[in-house]
Amino acid sequence: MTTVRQRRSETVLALCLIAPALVLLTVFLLYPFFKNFTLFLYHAPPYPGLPSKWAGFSQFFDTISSTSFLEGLTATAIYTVLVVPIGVFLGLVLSVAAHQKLKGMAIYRTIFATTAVSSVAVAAIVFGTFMNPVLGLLPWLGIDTNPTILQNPTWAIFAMAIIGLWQFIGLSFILFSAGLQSLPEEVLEAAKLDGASPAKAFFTVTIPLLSPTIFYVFTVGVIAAMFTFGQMDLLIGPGAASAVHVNTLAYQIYQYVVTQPNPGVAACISIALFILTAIVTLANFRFLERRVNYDV
Amino acid sequence: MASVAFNHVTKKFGDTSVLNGLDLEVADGEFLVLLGPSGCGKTTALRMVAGLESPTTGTVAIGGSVVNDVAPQHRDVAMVFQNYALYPHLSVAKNIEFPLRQRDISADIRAQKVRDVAQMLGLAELLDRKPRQLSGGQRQRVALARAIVREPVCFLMDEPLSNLDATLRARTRSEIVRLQHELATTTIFVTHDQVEAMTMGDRIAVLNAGDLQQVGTPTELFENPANAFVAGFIGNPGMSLLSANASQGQLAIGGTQTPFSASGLNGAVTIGVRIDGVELSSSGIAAICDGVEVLGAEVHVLAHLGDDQIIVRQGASAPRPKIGEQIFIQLTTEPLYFDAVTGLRVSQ
Amino acid sequence: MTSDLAVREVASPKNSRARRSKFVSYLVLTLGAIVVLFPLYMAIVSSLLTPVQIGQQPPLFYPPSPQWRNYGDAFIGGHLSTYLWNSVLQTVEIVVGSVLTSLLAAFSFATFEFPLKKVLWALMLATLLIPFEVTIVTNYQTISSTHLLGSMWALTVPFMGSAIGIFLLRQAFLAIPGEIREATILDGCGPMRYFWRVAIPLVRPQLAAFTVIAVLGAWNQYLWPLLLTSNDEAHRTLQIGLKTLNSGTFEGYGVVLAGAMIASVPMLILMVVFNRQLVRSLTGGAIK
Ligand SMILES: Nc1ncnc2c1ncn2[C@@H]1O[C@H](COP(=O)(O)OP(=O)(O)OP(=O)(O)O)[C@@H](O)[C@H]1O
Ligand SMILES: [Mg+2]
Repeated sequence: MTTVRQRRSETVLALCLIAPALVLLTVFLLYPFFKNFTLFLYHAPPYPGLPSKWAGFSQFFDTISSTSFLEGLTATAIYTVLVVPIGVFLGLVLSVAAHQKLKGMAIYRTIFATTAVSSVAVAAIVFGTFMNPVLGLLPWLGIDTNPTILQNPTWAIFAMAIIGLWQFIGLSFILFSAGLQSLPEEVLEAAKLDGASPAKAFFTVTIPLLSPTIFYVFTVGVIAAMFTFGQMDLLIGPGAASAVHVNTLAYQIYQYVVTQPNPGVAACISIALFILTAIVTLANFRFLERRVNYDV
Repeated sequence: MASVAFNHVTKKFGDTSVLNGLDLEVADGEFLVLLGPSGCGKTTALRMVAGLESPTTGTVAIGGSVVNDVAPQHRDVAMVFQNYALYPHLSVAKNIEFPLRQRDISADIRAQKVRDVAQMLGLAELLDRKPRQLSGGQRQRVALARAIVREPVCFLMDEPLSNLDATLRARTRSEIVRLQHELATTTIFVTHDQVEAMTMGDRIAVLNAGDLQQVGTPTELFENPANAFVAGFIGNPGMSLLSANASQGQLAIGGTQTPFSASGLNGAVTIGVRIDGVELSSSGIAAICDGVEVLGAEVHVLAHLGDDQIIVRQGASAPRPKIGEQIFIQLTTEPLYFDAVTGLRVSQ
Repeated sequence: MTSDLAVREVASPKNSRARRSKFVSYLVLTLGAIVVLFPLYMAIVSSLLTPVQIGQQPPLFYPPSPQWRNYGDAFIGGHLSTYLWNSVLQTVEIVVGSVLTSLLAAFSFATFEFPLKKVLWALMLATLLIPFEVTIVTNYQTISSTHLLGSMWALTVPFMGSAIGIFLLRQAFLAIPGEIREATILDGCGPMRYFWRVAIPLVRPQLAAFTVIAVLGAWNQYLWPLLLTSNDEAHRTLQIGLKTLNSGTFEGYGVVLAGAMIASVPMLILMVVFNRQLVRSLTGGAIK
């Protein structure tokens, strides 16, 4: 159908069209990602400009066994545990409640979606302001704010989590609403006709059918949570974050790039964090795969 | 305007052979129908003329010159796809105009041509609509218009009527034939519907499992099928094919003698009988009734003898056999004879 | 009579149950909405209060005399006008860039057969797994070593390629029936003409969906602008501007909250107007 020359010119065209995206993705994602695996073998030079010293794998193991890394890991883990399960649950409940042909649902949908489009900076400022003891809200609610929440080693992580949770509810709600819409209507109807109570239908029909979505939302939430640091940066800052146990791993990467530059350690943490997310992502794939097999 | 020729064209997709050495000539201005059951390679053959598929071996020629290495856009053929392939985002007018826009034609002339073709096909009122706002028949006409407006050397149509309802299909059949005669453009029309083939084609090429069975006018195919496949495929209904036995100038079916001599034949033979060559009778060849189709003025009785199916016509008022009941059949005209093994017509 | 009774017997528990479940739904949704909106509401109210009013006990739940000057102060004194403009520029550059490169690449992957296609596609998919956060060490060095640093391009060029965009749009191009492409070929239409005239109009819904998340993602970016513009006021984006505003001492909380409201309004509008596209793109393929 095509001559050799045509085919060759088509190949050239095809590659030209891919080139811009390919170059950008290679330069700004693939290359820097793989660069981590050479950076992490070197100590940062004592002064900028001096050559880096070979460290071998020891730097990686030193880093991931350091107190600050373990603190960061703990902060990240606690944050994730605080945000994701509750966010998934609330998103699910709200989306199920909104998944009815009742008046005013569109308004509720819009309201819940607002949090998903709010930036972390906006969310942090909105919540952070009211956590400020100078303002009247918390004392009025009878919450003791001395030391202030953001300076409290026990409660700071909860403050961070509330901000993350508020943002995550919107996304969770949107994803569940879409998941519910893709469910076969007849199955839910059938459960109703069989006389199942709404609660029973919810647990025996909706939840199982929605389980892939639940897992997906969970994964999305966990991955987002693992990279959280915006509210820590905006409300607490690199200096104090460690003192109040909110110095998440993502925030530490940032610090090792900017506030105390150390590419080797930054690369080590990046690799560790990547491995953690890869595990979550793979678990997600495995789960979805199994579900597909089960379905067919 | 141009002739189209397949010269010993084969086509393989991987290991599966779809066409086995197709030799076929379509004369300039001819309306040729490519007929065959599903999966026999009709679309593949058509797409090779368009250049969307290339032959594994052999050549395709348009207007006498081999086009194997000519890109589709340079072959100057127009195709009407089964599902029309209209551009959903363009209005009817823009759809028809689309092929013209790819050429050096001034806007005035383009608009004029679109108007003319739309007029010809009764689309003048619909020019501003989008395809989704059209009925199936209207879409079909837009697809035709888009092909016609190009004034190509050849129309290729792949089952363009199969998405229409029965009434519309019948009407559109004659409309396409009329247009083709007016334009006198070589047309290859693919279908698996033998009624379409019989009513539309100047000639019909019957294809089965990648092999060309017979090429001829509808009458030739109907009266002189070259083999048992064509006999069974052509006609409404096709011929009933029965295994029979000839010995000593006597044709016997299922052990029952018939008045025909099958002269010159000996041993197992396949016979083909048209529906008007048999009748029910009180004695004769025994068969078991499988069902009765009431078609208004006449009734078709479906029956089987051994593994063979047969259809017999009956008047509307005659008593109808029940399913499972034994009936008797007699041949009233001499059947056609086919080789029991190869299926080829045995001339007497 | 009997049938009438039977009907009532069946109908009444069902009806009351339906009514109860309706009531519960509204209750849950309203509670949820209040919890979700309360912080925003308080933020809006407080953005219109004077510093004294904000500290008042008990707190004010409405602005007695709306302090619109807080917004003016945020704009002028807090330099939000500059940051807003920077954010607009940044978003436009990222969106135009990533939409364009994704369209071209996605079209190529969906339309052509060429050597190395599978390898290149695998490479594209692999980048989906790499979070931007783990690349900043090197990206910071890369950008610092080019003369992009100190310009808007430093903020935007790294995001002009999008694996998600390529993925979503390729899916969309693949959904175009092959016959449409073949029809254009026979009509004498080359691949690029097909791309502009036919393919792009046909993937418009998915294109809109991707554009919406691209806008959202670009506008709300925090990490990269933070790295580059903490000390570069001229190119600082709104999100980082909020941080500066928040750590500034002179403005007062009303002004900071006013700034936060200014930063969120464009995305709220986006969400209300393009809700469908937003949902489609957020769920992008993972959920049908
Ligand atoms: N691209 C392809 N790759 C592999 N096999 C193919 C391809 N296209 C067609 N075939 C096979 O070739 C055979 C003939 O296909 P073709 O489409 O020509 O049939 P057809 O006669 O048009 O049938 P129908 O009436 O159902 O349209 C079929 O068995 C089909 O599966
Ligand atoms: Mg076909």
